[in-house]
Amino acid sequence: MEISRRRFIRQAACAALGTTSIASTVWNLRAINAATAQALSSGGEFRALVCLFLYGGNDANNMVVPIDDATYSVYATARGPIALAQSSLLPLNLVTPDPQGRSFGLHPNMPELQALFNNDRKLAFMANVGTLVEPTTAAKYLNGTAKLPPQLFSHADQQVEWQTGWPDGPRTTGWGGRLADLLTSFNNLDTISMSISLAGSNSFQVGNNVSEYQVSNRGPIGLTGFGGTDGQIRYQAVQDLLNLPHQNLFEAEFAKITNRAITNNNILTSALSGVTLNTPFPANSDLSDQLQMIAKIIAVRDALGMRRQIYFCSVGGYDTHSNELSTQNNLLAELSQCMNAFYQATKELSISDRVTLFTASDFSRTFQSNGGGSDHAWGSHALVLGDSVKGGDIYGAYPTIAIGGPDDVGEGRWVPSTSVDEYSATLAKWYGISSSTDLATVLPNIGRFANTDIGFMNQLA
Amino acid sequence: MSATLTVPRVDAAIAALPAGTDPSYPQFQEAWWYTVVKAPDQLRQRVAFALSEMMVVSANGSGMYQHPEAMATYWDLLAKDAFGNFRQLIEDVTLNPAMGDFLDMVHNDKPNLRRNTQPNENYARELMQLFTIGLYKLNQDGSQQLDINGQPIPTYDQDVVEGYAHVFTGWYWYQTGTPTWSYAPSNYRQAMMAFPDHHDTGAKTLLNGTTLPAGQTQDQDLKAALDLIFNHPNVGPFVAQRLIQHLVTSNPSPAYISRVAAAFANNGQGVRGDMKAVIQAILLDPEARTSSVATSSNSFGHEREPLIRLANVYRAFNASAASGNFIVNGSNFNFSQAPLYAPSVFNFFSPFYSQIGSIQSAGLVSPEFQITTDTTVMTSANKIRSAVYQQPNPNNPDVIVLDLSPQTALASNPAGLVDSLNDVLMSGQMSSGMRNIVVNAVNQIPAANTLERAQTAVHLLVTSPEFVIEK
Repeated sequence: MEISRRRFIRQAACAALGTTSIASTVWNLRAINAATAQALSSGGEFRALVCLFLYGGNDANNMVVPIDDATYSVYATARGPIALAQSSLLPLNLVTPDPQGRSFGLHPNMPELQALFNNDRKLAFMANVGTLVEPTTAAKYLNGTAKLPPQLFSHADQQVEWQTGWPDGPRTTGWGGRLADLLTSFNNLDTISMSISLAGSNSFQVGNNVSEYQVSNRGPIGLTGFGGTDGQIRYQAVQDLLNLPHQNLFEAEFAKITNRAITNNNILTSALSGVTLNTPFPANSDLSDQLQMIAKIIAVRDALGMRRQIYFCSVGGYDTHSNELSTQNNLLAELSQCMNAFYQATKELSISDRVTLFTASDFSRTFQSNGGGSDHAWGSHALVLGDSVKGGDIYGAYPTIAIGGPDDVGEGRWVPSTSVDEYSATLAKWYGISSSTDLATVLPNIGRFANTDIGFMNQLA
Repeated sequence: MSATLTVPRVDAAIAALPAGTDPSYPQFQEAWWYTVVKAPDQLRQRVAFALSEMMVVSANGSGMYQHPEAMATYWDLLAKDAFGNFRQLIEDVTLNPAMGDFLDMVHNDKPNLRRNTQPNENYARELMQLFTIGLYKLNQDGSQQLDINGQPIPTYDQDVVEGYAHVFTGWYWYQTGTPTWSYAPSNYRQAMMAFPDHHDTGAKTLLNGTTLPAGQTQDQDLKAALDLIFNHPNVGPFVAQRLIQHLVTSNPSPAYISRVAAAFANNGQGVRGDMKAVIQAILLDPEARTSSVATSSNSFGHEREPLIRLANVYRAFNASAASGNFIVNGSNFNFSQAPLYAPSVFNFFSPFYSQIGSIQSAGLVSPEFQITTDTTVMTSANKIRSAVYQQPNPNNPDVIVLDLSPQTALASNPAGLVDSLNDVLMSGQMSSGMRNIVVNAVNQIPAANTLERAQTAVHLLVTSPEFVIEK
């Protein structure tokens, strides 16, 4: 069943009219307006972090590729059937030359990101970043003395470790959630959560106090089908059933989520009712719809009384064990077009210096092929985009791409040279975490690593 | 009772497609709904659904979306083996072509020095991690074994994954005539075919430090490798815990898991892996059967998955469409679920998911809550509400309608109506507070609107927290 956006808004409005909830919506909006004025006097200007998770393990080896003849030839031999043609790669003009003298190109289907890197200088790469519990080397890995994150190369574990930012810690909260715990007081607390997921449940946004509000890529959704007198009778009964005392913890939690969803829907549907966004987004892409909805919610940040937001969106299909070349052709084209559309939308909203989008993924993939694809590996290259990004550079150390070389722990699995902690800390500092105590709250292992700031972000005033 | 199969219904639907319309997933989805609502072998189908969420194959985002026969063949395999032996189940799953496609065992080649390629590790890893033994060594009660530092002990390492990846080389689509490795059209109906020239014959490091000798045949390698998994002490508690979570309660006691694991180890006649014995042990266990356990503990039970909720409603009220079809639209959008349509091999939700708040604070898991989001609580309630009020439409014979005539006959007696539904849908567990609310609401619907009274009662019941949490 495809519901058009207009249709579901109409349904939501009808649902609201059939109930007493319209009154509480008005009350909430009044509260927001009063609180907004108060909030605007503290906490600085708006900031949003957008985590875009590439589920399945993006083969970053084919996203940023060495193109100088010497290094490309090593690449082509090692990758065999999954090597991209040298002439097809889109050259990257680096602000700072590669210390090893290599030059790099982008996957042929990412011209939008090439332009943002070369021309706008608003896109940066974080090279060879991955989960670590302490700095280590391939040699230590191979002789068994490296201290390692639990369950390397396992999807579910590595996704969680990227998202918690604490590989050897309890898996109960994520680094985005802990960040939100610290900064949620900058927002009006009567509004929706500052953590908004367009991709359902995730570990990244779970905090001790703040948890995420999950919105569909078409916006918030409310209960429907309660029109007329009898509908009102039923709606009242539904609410009464939710509000019964529930001894069973699962019943109580289900009722709580449902009540929260009803309230959130009323607030966000009202706030979004007047939003316009003219930037075109790619059609027929869930990721595109997610990012467009994020831009719309950012557009109504003042109506919601919000000065800090953390978004989570995701796209799947990156687990390219087979048919890698054709699959990545589609996925990376989508990624490039969607990230560009989102960036252009933040320009339209005059908020592009206040919104930073960054990518994460389970892991990269083996440099060696299994024939048609590649298998689970470790250190990967990530993307950071926004007007606060010091773009046009590859940060960190791009690995030496030699099977059995200094960075390889087997079949071309690169030992990360930068930890997820360091990558995340750089973003957290931009977001407004200044003290080392707070930084350690967000990223408890950060003290084990050299860098709390990789340098790819311009700090905001 | 033998398994009701979906393949014949899918084949009939494909044959009836208008010229120019290609087969696709909806033909399987229709056959699945028809089967789970109408077939007599209900328990078998319910266990097959649990297995389909443990040993995941999915048409979501896959080329198999265009091959409903692939999904149907896999589903029928699960239904057939649900009451068989676990050893047979894992061999059938391993050689099933849809699984071969989904986790890349089909056309998995031995190492090729010229192309610098290694065997594909996808199936090898997930067979161990998700289907059979899990990441860490378990005690028979499902708890993790710990080393002297209090750390969990991994069951295998990367070398073992690579060993199994080498075992699983040399399989391709089943073919008649002269089989070829170079290119054959997909065949999702027969088990994959062995191509000995493409099987790695070197020695292989497998579980528990076992090494398979070099020079074995493809079949010898496969049998030995699967035997090692089947006999691993983790399998009993691993399968017991997963199946209990899917069928009864998210947080079974260690003793409950132990009893089921013991039934896995020995069915009473010295047979390991007898699924009938395992399912009996799960469903007849005092922890599952005693209503005092369900009502005295505040953490017993599990959330009915949205897909199961709708199936419960359709079955309870003998739903049907005038056309004889059983077409349920919008499942993935409304429920974040559709049969054999998970977003990845990790299913719709993880067995370890723990909802933040009182559930997580109590140290409990709540797997189904991973898809219980602000969005899906609304969309699933709307979808199920809509199903309850659906009326026959002469212009659309595919509309699925509930038979509420027994309930409509009780419309003048709201308390009696609600009590009968309590028995049918909630095993008589409805609280008095809930009963008062529903009876009161039904009483306010005009007495002449007998069908609407019945619909109101059903609607309020099946969207209530007390129904959604099955205890």
